[in-house]
Amino acid sequence: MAGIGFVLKRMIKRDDLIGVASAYVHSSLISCGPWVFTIIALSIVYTFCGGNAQSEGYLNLQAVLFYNFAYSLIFTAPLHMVATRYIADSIYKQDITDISSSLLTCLTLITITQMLPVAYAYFVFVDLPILFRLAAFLCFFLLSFIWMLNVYLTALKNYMATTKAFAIGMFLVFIFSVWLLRGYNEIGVLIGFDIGLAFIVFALTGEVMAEYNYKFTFPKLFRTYFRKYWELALAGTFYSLGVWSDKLIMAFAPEATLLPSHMRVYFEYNISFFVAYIVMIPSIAMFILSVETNFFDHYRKFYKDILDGVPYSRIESDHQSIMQSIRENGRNLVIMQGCICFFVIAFAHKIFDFLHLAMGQISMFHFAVLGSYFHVLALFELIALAYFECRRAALWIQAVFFISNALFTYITMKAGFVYYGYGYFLSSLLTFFLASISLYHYARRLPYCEFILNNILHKRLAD
Amino acid sequence: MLGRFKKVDICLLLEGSYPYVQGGVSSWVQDLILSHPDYTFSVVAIVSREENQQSMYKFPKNLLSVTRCSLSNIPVGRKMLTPRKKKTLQRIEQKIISLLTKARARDLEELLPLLKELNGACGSYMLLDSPAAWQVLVNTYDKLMPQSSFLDYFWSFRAMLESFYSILLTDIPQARIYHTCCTGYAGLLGARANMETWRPLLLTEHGIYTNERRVELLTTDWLYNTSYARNYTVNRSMLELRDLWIGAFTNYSRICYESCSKIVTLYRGNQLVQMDDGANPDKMVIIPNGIEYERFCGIRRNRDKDHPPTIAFIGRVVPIKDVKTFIRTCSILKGMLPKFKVYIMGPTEENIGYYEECCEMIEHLALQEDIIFTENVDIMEYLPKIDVIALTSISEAQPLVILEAGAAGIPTVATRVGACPEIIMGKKTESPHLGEGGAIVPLSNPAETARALYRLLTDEDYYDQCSKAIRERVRLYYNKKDQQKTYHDLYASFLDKE
Repeated sequence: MAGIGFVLKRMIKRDDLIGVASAYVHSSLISCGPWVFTIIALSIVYTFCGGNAQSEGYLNLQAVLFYNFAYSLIFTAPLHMVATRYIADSIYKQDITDISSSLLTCLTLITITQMLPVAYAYFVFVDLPILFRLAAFLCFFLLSFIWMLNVYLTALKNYMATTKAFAIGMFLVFIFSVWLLRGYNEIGVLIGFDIGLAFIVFALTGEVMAEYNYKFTFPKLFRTYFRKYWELALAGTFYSLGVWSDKLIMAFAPEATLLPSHMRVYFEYNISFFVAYIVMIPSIAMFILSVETNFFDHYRKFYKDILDGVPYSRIESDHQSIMQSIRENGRNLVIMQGCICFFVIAFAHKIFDFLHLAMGQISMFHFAVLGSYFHVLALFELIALAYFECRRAALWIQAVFFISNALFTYITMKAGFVYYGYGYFLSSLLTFFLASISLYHYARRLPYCEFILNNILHKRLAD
Repeated sequence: MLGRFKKVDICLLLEGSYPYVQGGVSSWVQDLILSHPDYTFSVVAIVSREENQQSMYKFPKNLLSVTRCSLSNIPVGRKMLTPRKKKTLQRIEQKIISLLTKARARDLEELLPLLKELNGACGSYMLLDSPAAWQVLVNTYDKLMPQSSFLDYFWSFRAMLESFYSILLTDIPQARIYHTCCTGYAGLLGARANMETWRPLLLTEHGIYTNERRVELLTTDWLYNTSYARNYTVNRSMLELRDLWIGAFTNYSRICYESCSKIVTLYRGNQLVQMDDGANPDKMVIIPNGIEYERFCGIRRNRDKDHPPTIAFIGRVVPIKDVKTFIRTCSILKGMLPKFKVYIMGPTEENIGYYEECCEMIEHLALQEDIIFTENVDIMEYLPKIDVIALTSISEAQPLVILEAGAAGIPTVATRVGACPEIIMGKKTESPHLGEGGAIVPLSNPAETARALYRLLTDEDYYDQCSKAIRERVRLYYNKKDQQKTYHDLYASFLDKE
C-alpha cells in the first residue's frame, strides 16, 4: 500500500512546514517571481535611461542585464525544479539535515559549471571596460544565486523576511545606482545593481542557514533525485528556454542592434515584451489568490476524503467540485485578463506615447500582449498539471512551447518586420491549446489518474 | 523448470506448496509422484509473488516439468484499445460481477472465450490499468459495495483481479488428467484446464480451502495495516471487504467443484463442508492418507525410571496451529505434574513474529526449562522418547503425525478439527470398535487439554489401552499402500477410458 497512501498523505499534509501542493503554489511564485523581478529591474533601467537610453553605454547595460537574466534563468532551471521537489520531500520526511548542504552544493555547482562560459562571454567575447566586465560577470552569478535561494526560501515560508530582503535589496539598487550614476555612468548603475543583489543573496543565505542546521554531507539530491526526476529537470529547462528563445533568436533580426561591444540585442522587441509582461501581473496575482483560497480547498478535500475511506460517490462529487473550481477560476482569469489585454491593445498608442516608444513597433506589441496572454494562461495550466503530479504531460507541453517558439520565431524573423512577434503569439496559442486539452483530459479522469496512473508511477519510482 | 509442456499423464495443480514450501501437502505430492512410477507428471506451482524460490524436494524421474505461476505478474500487454476491445471488456465486467457474487462454472466458461477475443492485447494494462478497466472497477464497486471505503476496495479488488487474471492467462501444460490439490486459485486453474482441454479434473482437498481462507481472514489484521486517521464507517467496510474476499474464494471453490469429475477428501467431516459449498455428493470419494506402518511399528515406549513424561507438539509454529494454547496447557500442567519435558518440533521461520511471541510467552510463564524448540528434526529419532502427542490446531485436515505416532503406539490429545476425532476415537462405522487412541478436546481450551494429557501421562492402564487402539487403527485403516492403490485405480479409470 506504499504507493498511493504515501502520496496522498503527503499531498494533504499541509500543516507541517510545506506540503507538495503548497510547494506548487509557491513554485508558481517562483516561476512568476523572476518574471516580475526581471520586469521591475529592467523598468528601473529604462526609467533611468529614459532620455539618453540610446547612448552606447546604456545600451551595453541593457544588453548585459538582458543576457544575464535570460541565461541565469535558463541554466538554473533544471536545478530549481528538482530542488523544489527535494526540499518538499525532505521536509515531509522530516529529514532536513541535508537541506543546507544541498543549497551550498547547488550554488557551488552553478559557480563551477557557469564559470568558464560566463568568463568567456564577458572577458573574451564582448569588448567592455574591465570594471564593466567584472560587474557584469558578478551580476550573472548573483542573479543565479537569487533564483536558487528563492526555491529554498519558499520552503521556509518566511515570506515576510524574503519580501523584506527583496525590498531592501531593490531599494539599495535604486540608491546606489543613482549615487554611482553620477561618477561612473552605466557602470555605476550596474555596480549599484550588484550591491543590491549581493545584499539579497547574503540576506537570503543567512535566512536558510539560520533555519536549517549546517552539516556538510554530499546530499541525496545529486545521487538519486536527478535520476528519478529528470523529467522535472528537463521540463524546467524547456520552460525557461521557451520563455527566452524568441528574444534570443530575435537578437539576430536585421533590425537588431549589434553593439560595438559585440553584443546583439533587439531592444525594441524586448521592450515590447517587457511591457506586455507587466500587463500580465494582475492575472498572476489573481491566479495565486484563487489557488490559495478556492482551488486548493477542493483539491485538499479530494485527497483527504480518499484517505478517510469515503465511498466512491463522495470521491466523484469531490472530483466534480475540483472540475467546477478549475472551470470557474479559469473562466474568471480568461475574462479578466482578456479585458485587460483588450484595453491595452486598444490604447497601445497612448502607452507608447507615454513610454516614448517608436510607433512602428506597435504591431509587435499587439502580438506580444496577445502572446503573453496565452502564455500566462498556459503557465497556469501547467501549474495545475503539476498539482496533479502529471509530469510527463507537462514535460511534453513545455518541450512543444520551446520548440515551437524557437521555430516560429525563426520563421517570422525570416518573413520580415511585419510578422515580428507573430511567432511567439502562435507558439503561446499552441501551448495554451495543448495545455488546456491535457488539463481537461487529466482533470476529467482525475480519480483514474490518481489511483492508477500515479500509483504505477510511484511504484516505479519507489523501486 | 525441468522441461516444457511435454504431454504428460497427470498435471498436478498446486498452490503455495510443493515444491517451494515444506509441509503436509508437499510431502503428499512428492509421495504421490514417487508411488506412481508408471505415470508421468507435471506440476504447476502457483506462488503469490515472483521470487527466486528454491525447490525443497528432489524431483522424481517421472516428474517431467515444473511450471511456476505467479499471482502478481501479468505481462503488460498492448497499450492501445480498439472500441471493440472496450466492448469486450464491458462484457467481461458482467462476468466478473457474477463470478464474485454467485458464480457458476458456466460464468467462467463464458469468460474464457472473451479473454481469447482480446488475444494478444490482453495484459495488465488492458485488464487492470486502462481507463476501461478502471470503469469496470468502479462499476463493480457500485454493484457490490457502494457505501464502503473506496480506497480499501480499490486495493483489495485490484489484488483480487490481478490474481484472478494471472490464473486465467497462465499457460497450462498439456496433460491427460488435471489433478488439483485444493480449490482456490489452483482449483480455478483446474476448472479452466477442464474447460479448455476437455480433460477430466480431479480434486483432492486436504483441508477445506475456503475454510482456511476464512480463518486467515478472520484472524489476521492485514486489512488494518493502515496508519492514517479513519472514521467509524471504516470498520463496516472492512467487514464488507472481508466478505468480498471470502465470497470470491467460495465462488472459486464452487466453480472447481462443478468442473471436477471426482472430489476426493480425507475424511467424512470435510465432505459435509464441501457439500455446503456446493459440491455434488455423487462425485465424492474418501481416500484417507496413509503412512508406512512398518516403519513405525517397531518403536516401543521408553519406560526408564529417569525418563521424564514427554509431550511433543509436531507442526509448524504458526497461528493456525495455535501453539499459544499449547504453551498455556503446559503452564497448567506444570501445576499438576512436577516434572515433564516438552518438544515443539517444526520450522519456526515461517512466521517469525508469532514465534517470538511464543518465546515471550514461555519466558513469561517460566517454562524455559521445560519447553524445547527442536526446529526441523528426524521424527524417527524423537518418537522413542515421546509419550504423548498434543495437537491444538484450530484447523487441520488429516494430520499425519497422529498416524505416525499412532503406528509407534503413541496416543494423541487433539482438538476437534479435521479428521482428528475420526482417527483418535474411530469412525462410527468401525467394526469391531477398537476404542480410544487418545483424547479429543475443544478448541483453545488449555485446561481441558492439560487434564487429558495428565490422565494419559499418569494412568498407565489407560495409556496402554489407548496405545494399543491407535496402533491397531493405523495398521488397519491408514496404510499408505492402500492409499496408493486407490489413487492408482482412480487414475487408471480415467486414463483407460481413452
